[in-house]
Amino acid sequence: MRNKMNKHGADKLISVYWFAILFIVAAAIVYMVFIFYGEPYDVRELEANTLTNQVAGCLSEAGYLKPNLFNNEEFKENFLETCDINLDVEDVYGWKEQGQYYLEINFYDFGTYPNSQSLFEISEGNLNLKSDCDIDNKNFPFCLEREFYVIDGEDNRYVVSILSIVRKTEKNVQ
Amino acid sequence: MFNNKNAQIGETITWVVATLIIIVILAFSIFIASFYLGGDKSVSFSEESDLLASKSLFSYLLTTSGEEKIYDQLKVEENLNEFNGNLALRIFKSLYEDDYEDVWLGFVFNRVLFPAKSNEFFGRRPTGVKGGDVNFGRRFVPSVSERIKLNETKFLELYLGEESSIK
Repeated sequence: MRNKMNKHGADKLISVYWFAILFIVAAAIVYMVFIFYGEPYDVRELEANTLTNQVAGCLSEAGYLKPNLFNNEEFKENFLETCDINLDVEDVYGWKEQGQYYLEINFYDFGTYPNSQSLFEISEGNLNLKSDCDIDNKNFPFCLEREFYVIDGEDNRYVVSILSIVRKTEKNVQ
Repeated sequence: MFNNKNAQIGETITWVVATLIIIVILAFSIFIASFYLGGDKSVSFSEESDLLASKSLFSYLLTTSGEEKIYDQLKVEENLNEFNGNLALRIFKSLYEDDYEDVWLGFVFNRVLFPAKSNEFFGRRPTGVKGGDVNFGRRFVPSVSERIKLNETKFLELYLGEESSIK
């Protein structure tokens, strides 16, 4: 009779032990999943690079600056449409009102670069984002500035600088 | 009675060891998840090619010196000359030195021995292999390479290495 009671007690103890182990294992798995999926993927660098490449592809073709582009006010006015760039964003977190992208293209004379003024400038998007580029923090917009060398049909040499800024911190940074 | 107590001790030790093993395995998994999987989750751009450097290289080859394009000069000449060498240095070093640690432009050949030719402007071509201790091994550094065919065996190569490597 007494042995039977002891056995019941031991069984209960083991059940409690198994529940504790189960709880620990489950908690650890939840924690690991949270670590892995908790933070969103930051794709802003990818977006900025894609924008930069799209702009570069639009300005230069087969090594030459596209004709009728430099100092062309009409091209400047219709830059986004001409280059097939869409800076629209989804209507969340007030993104539509604020503007999440900024693009700035500057043409410099190669002979005097980098000590010269821009010869021609094109800019699109939210200019306010530019002031945040000096701050090196992932909670601020991602800024990418790159240059390339290009010549026109008359062998004039230029350096084209492309500044691409992507904000979208709400979806890319936690 | 005595046998029963021994059996209980044995069973308890089994459970204690089993618990410790479970906890060690979980702690190891959490450690791996925290340090190797949960870090920086920024998705970088593929560095196998660089469109802007490639465009600069095309424009560089189309630049003329007198009546002749640099591409035509490079096709016949043994190495970079004063004009195209200095121009290349100004374009590629000044525009891409912030993005890449190793910037090299020069001739490479379709041969097994000494495939790359050094020049006075960029020096010897980086091997793309990071020097390391024998025990830790050597590894290739991420790099971009743009090659332009000049003739059947001769190519012009722009090498951009994210890290410096053995020369």
